[in-house]
Amino acid sequence: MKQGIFFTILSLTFCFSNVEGQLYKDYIGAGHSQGIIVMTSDNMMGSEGVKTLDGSGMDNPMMEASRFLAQATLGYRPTDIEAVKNLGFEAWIDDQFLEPTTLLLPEMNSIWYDLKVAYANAGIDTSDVFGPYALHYNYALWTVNMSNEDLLRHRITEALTEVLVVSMNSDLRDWGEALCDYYDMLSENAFGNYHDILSEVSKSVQMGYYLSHLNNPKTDTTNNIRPDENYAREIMQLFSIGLYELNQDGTPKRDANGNQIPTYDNLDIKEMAKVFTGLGAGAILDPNNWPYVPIFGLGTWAIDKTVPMQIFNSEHEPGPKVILKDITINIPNDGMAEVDSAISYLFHHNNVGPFLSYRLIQRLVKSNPTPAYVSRVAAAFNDNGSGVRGDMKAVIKAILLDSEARSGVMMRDITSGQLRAPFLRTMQFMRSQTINTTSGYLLNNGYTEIESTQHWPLAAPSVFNFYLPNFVPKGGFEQEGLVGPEFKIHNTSTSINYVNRAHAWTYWDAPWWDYEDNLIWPDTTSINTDYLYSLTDDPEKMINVLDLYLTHGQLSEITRENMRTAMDQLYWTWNEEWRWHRTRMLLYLFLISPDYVTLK
Amino acid sequence: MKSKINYVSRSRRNFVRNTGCAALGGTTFLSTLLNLKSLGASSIFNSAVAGGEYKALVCLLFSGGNDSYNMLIPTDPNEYADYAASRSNLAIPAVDIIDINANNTGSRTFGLHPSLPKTAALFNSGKMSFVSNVGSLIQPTTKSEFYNGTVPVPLGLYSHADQIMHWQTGIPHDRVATGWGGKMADMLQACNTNTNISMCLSMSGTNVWQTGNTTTEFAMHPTQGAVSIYGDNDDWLANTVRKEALDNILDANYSDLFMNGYKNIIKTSRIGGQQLQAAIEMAPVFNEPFVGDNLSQSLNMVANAISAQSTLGMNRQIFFIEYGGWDMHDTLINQQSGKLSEVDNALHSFNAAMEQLGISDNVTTFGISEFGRTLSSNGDGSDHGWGGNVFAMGGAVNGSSIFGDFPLLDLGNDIEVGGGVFIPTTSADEYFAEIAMWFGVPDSDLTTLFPNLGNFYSVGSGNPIGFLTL
Repeated sequence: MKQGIFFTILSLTFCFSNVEGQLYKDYIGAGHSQGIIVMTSDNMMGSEGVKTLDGSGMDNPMMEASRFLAQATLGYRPTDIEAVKNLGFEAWIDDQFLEPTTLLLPEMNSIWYDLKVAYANAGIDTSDVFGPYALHYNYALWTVNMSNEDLLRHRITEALTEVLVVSMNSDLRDWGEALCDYYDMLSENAFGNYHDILSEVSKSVQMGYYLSHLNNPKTDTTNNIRPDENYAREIMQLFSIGLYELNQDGTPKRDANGNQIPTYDNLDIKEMAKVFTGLGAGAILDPNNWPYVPIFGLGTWAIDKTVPMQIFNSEHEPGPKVILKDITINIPNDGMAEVDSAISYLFHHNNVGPFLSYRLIQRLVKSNPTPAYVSRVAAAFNDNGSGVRGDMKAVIKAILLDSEARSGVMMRDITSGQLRAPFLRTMQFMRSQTINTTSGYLLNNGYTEIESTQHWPLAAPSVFNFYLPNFVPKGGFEQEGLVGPEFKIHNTSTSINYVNRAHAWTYWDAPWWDYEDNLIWPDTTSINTDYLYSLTDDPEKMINVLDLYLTHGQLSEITRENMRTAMDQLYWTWNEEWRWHRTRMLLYLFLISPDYVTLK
Repeated sequence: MKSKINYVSRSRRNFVRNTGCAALGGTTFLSTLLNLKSLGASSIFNSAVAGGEYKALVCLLFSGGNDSYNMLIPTDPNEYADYAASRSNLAIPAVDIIDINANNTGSRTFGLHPSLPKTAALFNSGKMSFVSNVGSLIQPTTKSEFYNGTVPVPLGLYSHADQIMHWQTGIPHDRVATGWGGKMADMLQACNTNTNISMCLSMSGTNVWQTGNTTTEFAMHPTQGAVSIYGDNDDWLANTVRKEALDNILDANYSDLFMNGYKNIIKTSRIGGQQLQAAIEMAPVFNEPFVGDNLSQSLNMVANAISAQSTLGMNRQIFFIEYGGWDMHDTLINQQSGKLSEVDNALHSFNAAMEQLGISDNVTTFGISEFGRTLSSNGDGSDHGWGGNVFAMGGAVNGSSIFGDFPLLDLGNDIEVGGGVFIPTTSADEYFAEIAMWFGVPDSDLTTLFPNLGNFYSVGSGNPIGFLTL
């Protein structure tokens, strides 16, 4: 699919009229006006200082919209800021619920087809070209997320990939269609019901492969073979209920002695493992070759990895299984009914609401939600208002429209915020800019980002994701009782690498690279910075434009002052190149600033 | 616990452990430092040899849970028969096992996985030993106590996330954010004159083990080493402006924890990285080349950093490598062969590099893994277990030995608690404590590091296990 035309006609002009006149010293959120000096406001738009102070000015809603989009999308354009401002938060969400799903698999197949044609045209034997594999999934992931309209859906999908983890850090890397299909499955359910998500994940051949309940046989006492416990454990620990009984607000329940109460023990895992026996290939890749139909135990080489697993009852453990301490499942000769039953019991466990709510809030809004916030979202999970449990739409609205996500007061709260995961930093920046591409393709190989910053959808090191929800970084967090999961991958190596990525994006004008060695087509991409270049006579205007796009009007005075100083120093009379340097320098400083990299 | 080899206390041990910063202890270090300085006794802190001779620890975390009863295997016919019966289709054929000559196991004989020929040679030449059936425990635990729930057992037993933390924190009864490697660095910080680079160098990013109360790891890239910021060595006008702006951002004090946390890491890395990179670029060419996989490359970088210890003013170094992919619920036989082969090559090259540097006695390399795995098969793999076998390598290791109680491997024996899971007979705390003692942590600080240690070992009674020359 060609994307070039679409990208080069993206208009950025509308927003200048909204921001260029304002020379503010600080961002003013609702309830945050004391001591703020508004030096000028934008007369053309009919606003004045007092309106900004009381929250009714033009820029304040734009900034609020930008901040909302930083939580609700992977990246957004100036037009999206305008849309949210005009529609309001909830109506925009409702609109997004209606957007058709943009899928990765058809995109990847289209790219793969085009690549093979291009290779053939270059005289290369396409039967020697390996794929589609993780590289082509990366291409599709990037292409879709640089051009889609279903922004909210893909943000939720990304969050779900960090909870229900499968990873290309396994043999799944060899199967691009498996990676795309798993991502698409989560996308298609992102506004559905968590019961379906848990069920489809459990039956997906990707998860079956990744956590080894694919081709998991029943007990064979003669040979000391017993069911594989891997998925039985992780579906409970990581995908549904967690290790300990929770209150609705996510805090642990305590017994009479003050101890936490385990949700299951090792015997429960062994019993649950029996439930997840007998699942095998749902379809084979080539029905013209042996074995013609799926058989139990078939290797992944022959399995169609986009079709869910099916049950082979003869390989399913017979007899009753006692799960979650005292629930007996016994449906003779219908293994899939037992799987469904176990998933249903897990889904209806009281822990799921707070367990999932806490994780999704951490991904979308903040690392340290208050128990009250978790409780409100969990309540929406438990009942969407119409008696339905697990309704993702209700959960999403509860998260994004909650006062704790929206209130300007929270921006200044020490407990409120997150270190943004590297993929989100990359994506938001790229989506906010106009990308010029000579080939018309948007082929980011992804490996540069994975290698540099260790964060990319479906590239986690293990089922425990890139970081655990309870990771406590250095620097005062422990003393405050706070967690900061994303700091797990912010170390002396990745932190510098991120700064250098920003350098490549701005100074080298190299937003990303494909992996085709320019063999097949000249593919150069660059960021169109004309909109900044035209403002280089007035650095304050440049700063204000980027403050709206990238830091939601929350740029701190300390960073702003450093930017002003740098802009002032970049001036000379012998040529005009200082304009280019101001443009690149300011983008660079924004991208590496603590203001952009954290979300408050 | 039982069957510990009793080593005669060596005078060298007393000399080393009573010399220099280690004897100051950790918790009161700062005040002691001030006192010493005020007494005019600060010279040891200005010396490159504070803390006695140089020492380094290299921790290899085999994350995922190494199936270590296929790494170290009994070869006596009766014991092998138990092993083969319990493992069924996961058993290594007897003819493929590489025999090793253990000097402390009496009539019991052992061998290594067929992918470990070079490791077997290291063992036989006295460079390596194993500690068997070791695992996280809160106190000694019998089978009946375990089933009756009458003794506390580690939180989240059998779960990756918890067990992998416990091996790094030494605190299996709680979930804490600091590890015993980082806390040792807190205690021994005065051994290093270098204040820009952490004693804890990680080839695998942020980790709990190297996180102390004041220490954080310095993460390196396994092949590139320390990474520097593009343009930092360029003095052209626009770049000078960029550097100054970067300085200003990194030096600023943001009121927000997240913002400060973000930029502080960059700041630390930028200062230390330039110094570290300059030093490791002077590393010699090693005669036994490291192969290209990530583990070997990581150990190559460790060797580079060790070669630069004197230049860097680091008299203590603590290295961490996480080497994942051991959670072999599936296709264990094939996967483990490939992985152990990488281990075999890496350990061989690293040992050769240490000998080339003449520093082998000063560097101890040791393995950890969150748990052993079930002896029984789940079809073609094994599941999460508890006790397992680990190795230690280096000139300070009392080599060619198998320490601890290597169990009989029949299912249903008195430490087997289902599916071929063994209750550990040696506490991970004892293993850790012996390493800490060798590294220079004084006895008085051992229970600060390992609060449960007293349940297994009487502090002050010599080697907890005996695998290191203290």
